[in-house]
Amino acid sequence: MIDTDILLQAEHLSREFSGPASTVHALRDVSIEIRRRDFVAVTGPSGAGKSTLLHLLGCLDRPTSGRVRFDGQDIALLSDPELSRLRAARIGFVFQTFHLLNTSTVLENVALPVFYARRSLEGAVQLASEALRRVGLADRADHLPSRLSGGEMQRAAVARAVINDPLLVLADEPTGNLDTATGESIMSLFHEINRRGSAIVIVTHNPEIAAHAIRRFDLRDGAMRELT
Amino acid sequence: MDSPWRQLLRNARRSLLQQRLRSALSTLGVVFGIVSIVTMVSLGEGAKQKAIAQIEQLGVQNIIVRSARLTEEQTIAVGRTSTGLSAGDVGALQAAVPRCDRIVAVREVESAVSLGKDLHPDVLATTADYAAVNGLVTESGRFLCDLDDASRAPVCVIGRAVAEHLGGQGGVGRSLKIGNAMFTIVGILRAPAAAGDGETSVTLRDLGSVVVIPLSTLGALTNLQLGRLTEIIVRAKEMPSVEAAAEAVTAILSRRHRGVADYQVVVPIELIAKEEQARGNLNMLLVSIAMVSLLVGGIGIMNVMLASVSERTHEIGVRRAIGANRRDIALQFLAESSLISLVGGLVGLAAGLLLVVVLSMFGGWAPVVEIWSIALALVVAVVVGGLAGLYPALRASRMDPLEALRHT
Repeated sequence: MIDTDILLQAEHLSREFSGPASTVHALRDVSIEIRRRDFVAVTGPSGAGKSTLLHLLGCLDRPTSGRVRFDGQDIALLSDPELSRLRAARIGFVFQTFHLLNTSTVLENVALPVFYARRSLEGAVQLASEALRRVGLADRADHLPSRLSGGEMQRAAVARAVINDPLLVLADEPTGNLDTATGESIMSLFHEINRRGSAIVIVTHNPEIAAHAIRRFDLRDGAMRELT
Repeated sequence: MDSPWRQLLRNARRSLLQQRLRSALSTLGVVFGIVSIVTMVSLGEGAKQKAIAQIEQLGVQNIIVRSARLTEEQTIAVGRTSTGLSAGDVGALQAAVPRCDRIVAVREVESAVSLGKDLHPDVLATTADYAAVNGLVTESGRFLCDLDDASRAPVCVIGRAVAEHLGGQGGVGRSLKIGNAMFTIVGILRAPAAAGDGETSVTLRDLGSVVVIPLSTLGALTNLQLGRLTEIIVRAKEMPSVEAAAEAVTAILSRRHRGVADYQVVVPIELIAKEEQARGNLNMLLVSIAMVSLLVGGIGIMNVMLASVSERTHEIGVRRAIGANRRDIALQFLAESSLISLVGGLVGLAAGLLLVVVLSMFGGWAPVVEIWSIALALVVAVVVGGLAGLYPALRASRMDPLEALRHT
């Protein structure tokens, strides 16, 4: 039976990276269930496999073994276009280093997932303006990302992640490059996104950031346990 | 807002503008390739039309037999002197050539008229049909008629340039001294449609600068037998029978002259075919030049695109992470390479057209620009850009999203 309240189900995920000399086991037999509107934090020291887990959950990478079901669909069965579409429409990514395209304006950066999700830019400007307004960057729409502060860049990245009202927002150390106050303001954005209906998974080594989450997991040496 | 294609083109344009110099340099090969295509087609067409016009002026239904002097060696080799073209040949041809419409004999009289330093008109002694086979029309007065020939009338028809030179003395009814005799001018020829004066495989008589008199009158005045003729023109009844008539002419003359090649048979429609063949060979050469330029241009664009793909690895990763699929990434780079090449094509087209106009001014022919050659040039440019972008685009689309994302 598929529980419809479960958004994402990862079972026995392992991910190995084979280098020239040896094989690195980034994840060993990790299982996690994320419910709709969930707010999850995964903590752990650097090198514990947090980012690897996030990439697998976000359908950016495929596991060496194990299975990821997103919204009831086994992603191993999806083709590249289907997976890409899923990423564009249902999933939003927020990265530590923002990853904005620095040759496009803030507005264009934010509007890009609309284009990839719908194959059209119908209404994209309105959606992007609205998303920018929600993160408080309405007056920065025509700027290039290089002219923004770190906090503003991360706000733009958050706006890009949520423009298609995704079911899941994944954030990889979203406050890692920001000072504490700015980090807190970004976290309040995540709370608002969560209230609007998106499940959120944040990976961080910072316990204060993790404290915002409803459920918390600890990842060590590729193995995960839930903190209660 | 707009369609994916416009979005694609806008992005392509922007990223090309970010590397103006590099983009401009990479189009050079395509520019030169397109310049050579455009000029080649126009030069080819211009020269072809000119050549065909000149050949057509000879009359496509005509077979022209010209007398040719034997060289000393040839005379020794055949062991007797050449008899040249004669009235007897005309009679034989008249009797034996199938589907023959008219036969006209021409005799050229050397330096019989001199009108100053610059104008030495050819004096042609011929019959009334000469006008018909050469498509000549008089501007005023009339051409020679059969009666002139029968009565050995001392009349002449003059070309436009001759009439202009004579001025008031050159009107119909005036007299012109040819040799030692006075001739009455009965007509002035209309200036022939200018076919230009460049060199072709056929030398044309300048019909502006001629004086035409009846053949029989020449015989009477000079008290000479009608000896050598300069030219015999055989006109076939219709186009399809030209070939058979030409064969018959060759066979009859070869028999009558016992194989002595003191004449030359010129068949204008065969010349057109030869001309086209020669043009085809030249075109092959020019096509190869264009191909090499375009190949070099394509390689240049590919190089620039490969550099662009590797510089923008991180961007590719970001786009993939937020939902671009492989095809989106490939199209993005293909659009860029096609656009860069199209711009090169447009520049090449403009430069090519300019070159054609300049060349035609110096070459003295009307610039011929075919619409299809413009379309061809632009299509070729886009195709070259697309092909050159194919490998870089594939490389970009096959990158692993995560590795691309980590790339800085």
